[in-house]
Amino acid sequence: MSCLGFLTEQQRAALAASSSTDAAGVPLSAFTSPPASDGKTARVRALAASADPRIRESAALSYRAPDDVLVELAGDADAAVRRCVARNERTPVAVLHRLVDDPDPFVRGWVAAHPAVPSHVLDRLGADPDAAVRAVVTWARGWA
Amino acid sequence: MRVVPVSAGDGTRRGILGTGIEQGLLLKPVTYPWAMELYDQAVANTWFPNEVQLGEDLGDFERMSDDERRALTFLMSYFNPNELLVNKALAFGVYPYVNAAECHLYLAKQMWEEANHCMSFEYVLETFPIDREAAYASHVTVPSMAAKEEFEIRYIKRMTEQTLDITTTEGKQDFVRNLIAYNVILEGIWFYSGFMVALSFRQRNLLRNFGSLIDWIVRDESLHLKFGINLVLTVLEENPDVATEEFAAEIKQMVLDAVEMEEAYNRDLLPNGILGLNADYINTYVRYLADRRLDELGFGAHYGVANPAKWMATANDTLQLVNFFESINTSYEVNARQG
Repeated sequence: MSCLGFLTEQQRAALAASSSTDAAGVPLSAFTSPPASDGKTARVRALAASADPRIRESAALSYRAPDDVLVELAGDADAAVRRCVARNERTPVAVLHRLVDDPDPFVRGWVAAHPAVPSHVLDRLGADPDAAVRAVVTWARGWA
Repeated sequence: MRVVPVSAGDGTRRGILGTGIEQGLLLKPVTYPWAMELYDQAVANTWFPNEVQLGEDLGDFERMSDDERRALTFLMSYFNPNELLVNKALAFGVYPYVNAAECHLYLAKQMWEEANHCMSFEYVLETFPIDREAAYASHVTVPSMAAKEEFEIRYIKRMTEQTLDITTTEGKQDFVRNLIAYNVILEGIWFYSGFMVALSFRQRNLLRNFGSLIDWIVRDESLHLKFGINLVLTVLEENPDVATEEFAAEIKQMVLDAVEMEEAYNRDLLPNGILGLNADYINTYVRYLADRRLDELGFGAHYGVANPAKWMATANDTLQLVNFFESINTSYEVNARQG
């Protein structure tokens, strides 16, 4: 649903004008996010210490999570938290190495799917006892 | 989820529905802990679009086929304005009628998230060379689009042009109708149909970062759904005058009609299939989604179909809504020209 049905003729004209070459060259926004700060890091640490595993998942997925927090959460008792660590694109390779032997196949699968997974780790997961993990390895090798 | 309306201190009992300046200004005691928990989770999930390096996908965009680029353009024309539409629905159709401070906190965060999603799609439009007017116009000539737009216009006009009297059964029922239209149908079924197409690029080793952006958005949407469903159930539990058999049948029919509209739309838009998907495949997923929503509303499944897309697998915990780990099973591949 494009919502064009809601627009007046003047609004459609404005839409057309905003698509013109000149107008399109001016970005709507700088798309900046608030800068990283000590306070933000402290916040992620506090989330990582939550008794609620759903909050710890958010910490594990955070792009601002410091490496030591990710190391700690890689050993979380809750598999869903460990999956989020493996899924976090900013998780360092050293932490991925730790997760490659995780008992949960979904964790191992997310390691295989990680953009920074080293090829030797992929080779190892290519022989994983779980068929779905091996399938993720096939997919992961499809990235140029 | 046990709901206990509390005393207003003046001998009356108040529930989740209410208006007036004197209500909803005190956070403690929290009456609806589920709303407070969702607020905490939403705050913990906070993210920003530029944290995703979308520019790294430009190489993929250049290599994509015309059909694939058209699919991406089509998606942007769908999602971008609809996030703002949902924001309007929340501002005019939900927030003014909810009484509890903890619910207001969550709604405020949800409205920010809709804005964040809108800016995320703006980020896509300004990163990839997509013509904005062409993107918006891509829907105009699709006949089944008019039916979907007419459906949503009906409810958004009521939300923005009328004031509900929620002291009456009719007013409360209108509140629930509006919520079903925007939260359950638009966000909970139609959006997910679009997410399936959006995430199918990554399945084909394309637009990895765009896929990450969609992951973040879906993570937010799972909480939006949870809040909306809980709100509907709470209203029904606290207001037994609302949940008549006739009204229940009407709500269920709204969902079934929405499925029909979405199926017609997908057939119009994907006559030949794209990205390894065809209309039948997506529409089976739409029916699966509708069954989940009906189940969550207490109706039980209607269509009884299995999820055809393991990569859109849901778990009991809707925070794990998207799991592309299961997608790599080759059973998801379909002949695009089937059906």
